[in-house]
Amino acid sequence: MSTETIPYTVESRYDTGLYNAKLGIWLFLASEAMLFGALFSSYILLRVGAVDWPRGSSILSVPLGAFNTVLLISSSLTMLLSWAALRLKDFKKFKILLGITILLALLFLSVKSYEYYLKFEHHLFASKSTFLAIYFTMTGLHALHIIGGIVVNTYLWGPGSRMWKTQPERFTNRIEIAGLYWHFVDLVWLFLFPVLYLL
Amino acid sequence: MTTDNIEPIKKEIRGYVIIFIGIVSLSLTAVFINYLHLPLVAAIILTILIAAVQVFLAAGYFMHLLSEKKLVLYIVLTLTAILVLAVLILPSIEHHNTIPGTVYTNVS
Amino acid sequence: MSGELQHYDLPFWKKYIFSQDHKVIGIQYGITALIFLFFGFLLMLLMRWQLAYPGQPLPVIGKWFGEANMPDGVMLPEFYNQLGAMHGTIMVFLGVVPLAVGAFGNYLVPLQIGAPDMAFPKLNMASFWVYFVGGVIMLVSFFVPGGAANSGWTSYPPLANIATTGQTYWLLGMVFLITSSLLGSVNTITTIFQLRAPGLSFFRLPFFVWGQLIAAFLLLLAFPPLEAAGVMQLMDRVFHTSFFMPTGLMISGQPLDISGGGSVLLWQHLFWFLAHPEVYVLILPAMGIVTEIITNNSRKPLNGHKLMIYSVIFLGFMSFIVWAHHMFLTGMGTAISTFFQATTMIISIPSVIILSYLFITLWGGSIRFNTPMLFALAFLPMFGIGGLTGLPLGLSTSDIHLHDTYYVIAHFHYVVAPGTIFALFAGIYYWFPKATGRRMNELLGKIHFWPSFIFMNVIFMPMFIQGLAGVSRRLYDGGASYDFAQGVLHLNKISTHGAWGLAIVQIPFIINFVWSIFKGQKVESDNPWEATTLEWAAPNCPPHGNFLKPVKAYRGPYEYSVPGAKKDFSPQFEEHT
Repeated sequence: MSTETIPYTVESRYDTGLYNAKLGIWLFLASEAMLFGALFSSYILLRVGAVDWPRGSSILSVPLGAFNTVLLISSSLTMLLSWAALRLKDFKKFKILLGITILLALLFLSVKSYEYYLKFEHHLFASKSTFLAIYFTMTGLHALHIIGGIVVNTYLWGPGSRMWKTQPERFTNRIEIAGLYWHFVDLVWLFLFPVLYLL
Repeated sequence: MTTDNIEPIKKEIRGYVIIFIGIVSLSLTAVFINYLHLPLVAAIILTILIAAVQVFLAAGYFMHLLSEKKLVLYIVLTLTAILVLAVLILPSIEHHNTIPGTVYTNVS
Repeated sequence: MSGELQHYDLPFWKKYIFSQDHKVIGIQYGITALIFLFFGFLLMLLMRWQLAYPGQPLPVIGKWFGEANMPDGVMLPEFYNQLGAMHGTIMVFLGVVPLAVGAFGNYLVPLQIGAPDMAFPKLNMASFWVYFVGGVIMLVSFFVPGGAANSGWTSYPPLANIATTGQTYWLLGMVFLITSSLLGSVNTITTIFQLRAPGLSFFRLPFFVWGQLIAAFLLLLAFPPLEAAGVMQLMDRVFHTSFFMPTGLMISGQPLDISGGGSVLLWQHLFWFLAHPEVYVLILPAMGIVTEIITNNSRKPLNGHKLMIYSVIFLGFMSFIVWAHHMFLTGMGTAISTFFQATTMIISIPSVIILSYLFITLWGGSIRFNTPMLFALAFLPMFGIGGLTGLPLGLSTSDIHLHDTYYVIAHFHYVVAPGTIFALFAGIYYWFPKATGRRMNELLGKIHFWPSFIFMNVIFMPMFIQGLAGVSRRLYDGGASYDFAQGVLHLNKISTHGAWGLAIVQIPFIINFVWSIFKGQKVESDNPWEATTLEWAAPNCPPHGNFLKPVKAYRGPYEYSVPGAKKDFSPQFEEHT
């Protein structure tokens, strides 16, 4: 191992089968699983101890939530396909697909904002009930994660994509890592939507 | 992650699209089940089951967990799974196991 | 070029302030943490005045704290509570863990595994500065109206929910500190898995590295629930939600205008889910440091090396399922309390194994009684007392009498103060030559050690007695208003005088530390302690990239006094010995 450069930033280490950033992002996702897990645990505890708890569909709009769900799953697919495009050395296709991913995410946020607006319009704030409190907190934290993902993806789409010319493999790995994060954000929503909207 | 051949990657892409269709279909199924207005317990079990399958598909294929080298990921994931279970289940068990006469005042 | 490190002809601000070199970052963590430790100690000295001389004006400096806190130099209960909450918070989150993990971990892990740096140098730099900002927020909170957080380091609702603004600062500060911790632990774990030098299998890693690895896993997986809880408490305070506010809550006879339906126990579960593994984060680096120093200064291999590694893995796992032993008095039924009591008893086993093997390693060794070794040796019985006194707390029946008394304070301080902090002192003396190329003065070291050891016991041993007598913790008059406490009140004065003694005797340490950086005796070699682990292969004040040529590990980390070898130590990095 050279004394100057850090090994396994691009190539995988033989025994772990991973390059550094991939292990790093999985560890980070493990901590995120604990974060959202704790919130789901709080949801369960609060609901189990409540006198009454509304069915999600009586307060939230299932069609809007379902639409958002399809948006997010689609953005996961386009993110994945943008990485596949890079592996096929098709930079143009990568840019289009990553761009669509970002747009779908922005659309998701718009729908979410509209949903929030519908609640605020009727003075249904988080302080009104524990259901609303946990709804706003969980979807709010999830939305913050979406925003984070949009920022990272936009950087990789824009200035960050210059790395394709100088270090294409390292850039491909970066898209893979960003993709893993993005899929996780989608995963959380796959639990969040049914729990909050359908139960 | 150096020079991959085109055909295997195109096959992967076909696989991703199929999984995508599967995940979306499951979501729509869950929404449909919701409109059946089942009793709560049944709804919970069914919906969580569907979500679990979706998460398995997304994690296994989109995040290609099923094709990674096993050891390190197993460690991280098993640990997380156990802990998430502990965080999810133990506090609620504790809620139901109280000294006789205890009243939890989050219930008025 | 992949993963290229920064070149070292950098401008001053990039080389020393926003450095990405793990050694610089480690020292930044170290200096900052030592300053916070000192500040936390000062907070305690203030509290100890009030406990020994309740209601009496603090001479000379009492008036500096202003009318809101100490009018005419007499401490108000509100200020006492702020001191208490912030002493705990600062010592744990800004002092000990950043020193043990951020400083020692960052500096030594890459060196001990033969790596040029941590896996993610930029992330490392970010971790430090996020910690720094979190610390600033915590300090600033003293100056907002109402002062700092005053609901204990545990911030239980509903009290913390309705507390003054300082509590919101506490929550924001914690968000920064937790983020810093999470980023750091991702870095540590990835580094240890990915950047080990050739020949360094997991079982050839020094126990110090194992301690850091498990501690990093604990931080990674246990902190997020507290982050979630912090977010929810912020929601409760700022947006008036009722995550933790029960229905029908009345404050001063008035019902609160909230939705209710919340659970105070929810906070406790989420808090202790972090805070219990946190205490293992406090102790594991210390055990690691002590192991390195004891093996080195006994010239013996580590007894039970493999079993110690299995123990520390088991300890890490178990630490996640004992948390509710902090909640035995919340009305929990026998099934759940039995579960947590059982797991708590089981978790004492790996600690005992580790401590026992450290003792056994001493047996038959050629002991060298230098300053680091003195501190490391003192750690053993002190941690032993701390650990053993934890047993009545882990058993729910006895905990009913001891919970929230001074017994608890004595128990955990024994583990952290003459436990972890002594180990950290040992580490500073031990690795000082590697970081600076100079030794710290031995005489000043012994002047630091012996009185510190005595005073630690003078301060904390009486607290067991007070706790058994029933004196509660967090009483601003030290129990003076309770009849049953009258017989043990004089012990408050003993503890306070001990604290003054402990404070005075840290001065030789500070002088020694600063003076030795510039004028300490230069060491003759890169390996002045004749140790076996990889960090001693690097030159003193290691350059960027750490090693002058690539390192390889040829054997285990504790090959001392190998029969047939030329020297009484066979370094990991030397091919032929």
